[in-house]
Amino acid sequence: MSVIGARVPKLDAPERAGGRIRYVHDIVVPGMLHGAIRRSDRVHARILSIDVSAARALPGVRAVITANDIENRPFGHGRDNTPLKGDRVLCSRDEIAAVAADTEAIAREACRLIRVEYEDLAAVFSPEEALAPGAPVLYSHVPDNQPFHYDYAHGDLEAAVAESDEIVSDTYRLHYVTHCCMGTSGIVADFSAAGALTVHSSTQVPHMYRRDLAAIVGLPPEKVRVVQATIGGGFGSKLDIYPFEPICVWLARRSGRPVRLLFDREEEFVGSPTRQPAIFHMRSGARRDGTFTFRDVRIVLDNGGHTSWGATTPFVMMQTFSSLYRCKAVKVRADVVYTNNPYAGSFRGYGNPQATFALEAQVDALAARLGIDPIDLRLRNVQEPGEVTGQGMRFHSIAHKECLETVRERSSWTMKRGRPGEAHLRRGVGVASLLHVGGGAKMYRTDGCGTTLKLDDFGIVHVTSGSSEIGQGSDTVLAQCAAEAMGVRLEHVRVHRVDTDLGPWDVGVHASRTTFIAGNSVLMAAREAKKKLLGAASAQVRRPVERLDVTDSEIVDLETGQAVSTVGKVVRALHFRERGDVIMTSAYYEPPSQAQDEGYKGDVSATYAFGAQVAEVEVDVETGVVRLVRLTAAHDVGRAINRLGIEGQIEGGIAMGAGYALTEELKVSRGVVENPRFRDYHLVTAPEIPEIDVTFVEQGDREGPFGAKGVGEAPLIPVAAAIAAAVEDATGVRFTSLPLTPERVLAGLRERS
Amino acid sequence: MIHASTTAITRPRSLDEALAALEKSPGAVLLAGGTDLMVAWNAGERHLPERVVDLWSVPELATIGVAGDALHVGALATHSRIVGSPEVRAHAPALAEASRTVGAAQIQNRGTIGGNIANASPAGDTLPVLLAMDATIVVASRARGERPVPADAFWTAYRRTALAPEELIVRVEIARDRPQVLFRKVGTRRAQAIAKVSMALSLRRSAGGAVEDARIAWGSVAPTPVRARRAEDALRGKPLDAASIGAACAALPQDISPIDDIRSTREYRLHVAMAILRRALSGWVG
Repeated sequence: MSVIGARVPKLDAPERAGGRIRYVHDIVVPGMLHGAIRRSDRVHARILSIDVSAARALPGVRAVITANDIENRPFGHGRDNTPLKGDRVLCSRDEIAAVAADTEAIAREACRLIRVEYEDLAAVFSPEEALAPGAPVLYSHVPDNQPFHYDYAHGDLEAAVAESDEIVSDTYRLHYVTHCCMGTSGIVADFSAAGALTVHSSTQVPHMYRRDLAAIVGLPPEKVRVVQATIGGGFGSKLDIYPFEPICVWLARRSGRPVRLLFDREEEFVGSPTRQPAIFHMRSGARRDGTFTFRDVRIVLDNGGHTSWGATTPFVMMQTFSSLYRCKAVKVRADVVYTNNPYAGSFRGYGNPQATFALEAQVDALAARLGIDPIDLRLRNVQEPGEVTGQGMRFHSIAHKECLETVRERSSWTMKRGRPGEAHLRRGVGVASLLHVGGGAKMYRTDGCGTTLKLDDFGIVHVTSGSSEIGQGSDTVLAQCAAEAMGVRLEHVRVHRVDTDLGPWDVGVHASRTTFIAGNSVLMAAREAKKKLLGAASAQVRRPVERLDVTDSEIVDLETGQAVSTVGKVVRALHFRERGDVIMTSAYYEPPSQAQDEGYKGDVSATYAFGAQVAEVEVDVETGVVRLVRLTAAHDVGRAINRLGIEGQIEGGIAMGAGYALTEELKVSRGVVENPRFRDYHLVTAPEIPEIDVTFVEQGDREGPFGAKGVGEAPLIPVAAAIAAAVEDATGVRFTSLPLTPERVLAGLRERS
Repeated sequence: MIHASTTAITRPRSLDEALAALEKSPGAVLLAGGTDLMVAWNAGERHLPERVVDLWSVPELATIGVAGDALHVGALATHSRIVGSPEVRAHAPALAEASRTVGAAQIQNRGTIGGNIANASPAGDTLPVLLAMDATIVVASRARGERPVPADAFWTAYRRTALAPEELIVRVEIARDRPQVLFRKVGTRRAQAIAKVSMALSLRRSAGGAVEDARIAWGSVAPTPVRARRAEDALRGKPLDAASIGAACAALPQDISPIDDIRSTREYRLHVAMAILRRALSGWVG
């Protein structure tokens, strides 16, 4: 009775639906104060003075801090952020002061009472402005406003251009969106009398976070314990440390009390990261027979005023340009540019939705020039199992071709393509594919994950993984892995939350890696535990170990088929004896992948996930309203472990992608977020969710747990590209920027006519 | 948000009590479902007032029914009740349709038609329908009793109404013999979207097909909900054909004054208003 591939409701669903799960917002520590942050009123200004006297005088205020009151160490990927800004603000979210008070309302009121005098500085609001000659310089040590560059190339570009029969060229501009986690950002910081710090955090990388947070606040890491709270949505937003976290620690230090700091919803829109906006100047070519020849891409990224992970998204973007299809010569240049805009973090897909939007638009443009059906053209360029791409990725298993063929069939592509009709409601279908890491990503020297497993005296398997549940359903998948490998019932497995004092090490939840990496780690620990369990059982029931197995939490004699003991009984008997023992195992899984070399080449993941989606839209050509009617998806998942969970991941990814394509936009005007509320920032709602048809292509991956690949990010990646392609099929206009709001679509249609 | 002052809330249990409370403190803020006020207060867009009269428990204001030749919809009728009311569906289906587009289910459960009218947002979803139906908004004060105000005269300027400080809205009356109204709302999405443009249109045609009367009302294209009187004039007395439809659409830009805001642009609103008017008139049956 395998639980692998079953439809298992998330193990924590009753707790979540019943309102019993404890998010960071629910954590109350005795004596706790409430923190709040005073943010900048300007986008680029020198701070002349900060007057906190009125805030300090407000009854109930226990601590007020500015940059002068703390050791304000620089941090972040660009070392260009500090917890509090003392002399200069560089974007509208910048933190200037913070308050700890008896209530959240008092803390917020005190923040309002802080008087800041500014002297405005010349600001830049786009990469183009920041790159113009004579542009204001944001950081004196970066006089060209370009803190980072990426250069990738494989193949002979000139030769590949020369052999191209068709070349297409265009520019694509992708906008700001944000994660919109249901749980806003928050943290609780609590010092012991001896000065040891416990933080209840919603980070998705607890072990790295411990080291980084300790460094920012000047504590030895061994004095920091990170307890992961239940996370109310991650999607990448909790991969980096943001200023509110060290700020809360400093408030706790200065007040001598535990402090909880929570964002309200508007603050979440203004003060949490965005998806990386991007500009792609791109050319690509093909031979007459449809063989892709080259791609030449220049990416310009708006880094905002400080650096978070958004600046590193070219790592992932270039993978799609180099390796989604076979292509002889690919060149990618990325320039990251400081501006006074908000800054981007990591967000599900990590640059890939943006890159896929640009690449798939060019594939469609080539298809039109060559007179080849878009799906046929893609099929002519997909790789075979065993192939190694120009960037060094090795595709042991690849079901890209099967995914394309599946969506062609299931979407009625041939019948629907190129038949928009004459009415004011036009129909269209469009396709897009995706490539994403599916077996972790070796971005550090290791991509490993530890597991500890304890079998208790009532037969319960306690799994503590270094990796963690951030809403993606990994606890359930890991429980299934443990149950399957040990032969115990699923309800006899508990997966415990990450606590850096108790749990084993892991690099964190990112790169769609948890099922694959943590799953394999759990399998190793579970197999070891089963071996110990059967050894103990063999001695107890006096049968050779080869004759025994564990099924349904019972010890079974394989010759008779009879249950001879239970898991709990064996463990109890092991405990209650002289020279007893416990069954506790640990494991560390390191995937067989390589870190990239200096030219970004290398087999960075143990396996890769592919997929294809066909969007069907209806466009009202009189109002520009686009309705996503149907989304047909086929995903190369290796093997589905929790069918219900993976359906949820795919459907959720499609909804998120539909929002990216059609309705969501963080409107940033001269550096200021104009719509920091759900009334004006439009997620898709239930009526916009299309009919969704999902097929899992399950060929099994040789390295994945039970053959599974990671697919947490995958389903979101091609959605916007497929929708734009469908709108083109319906209207003849290919939109090169998002979202496809009625205003943008109507303007595009009118421009053409 | 902390405020030094406090807010006094009165909760009348009858219309008399409500009118008395209002007479005692004219200009008190009237609260019904709270779907506009609570949002504005919480967001700090409006200061908490000194006095609030909470009408939620006044039963006389919540009735929906037919009286003589008219449909009466009490000011406290929620959008959910309007959507579910057989009387509204029978006599003013477009009103039910408009109420169904307000916010989402939770908002429809609390938001009232009286609140929609009094809030006087140019984007209020039911307001163009009330204009197109030539509805009467009955208001009352303790001193003067009831006073009927035609919808045409109710919204006087941006977020201003004909309601006097001591008055409250009692009900909406809609004549049962009105021609049916076509309602159209364009937004970013189909739920939880404030209109970029909305239109309510009613036509009365003679046996010969000529337009005897036209009422074309709009939301989100002017400081108040407005009628397009020049476009109506272009249709009146004419058969509904390409020439009159073209003239009505050509006249429309003089009737409306859309702006750029966070939800849309002047250009989009103007174009789409003309497009949905043309489509509605071209497809008109009955």
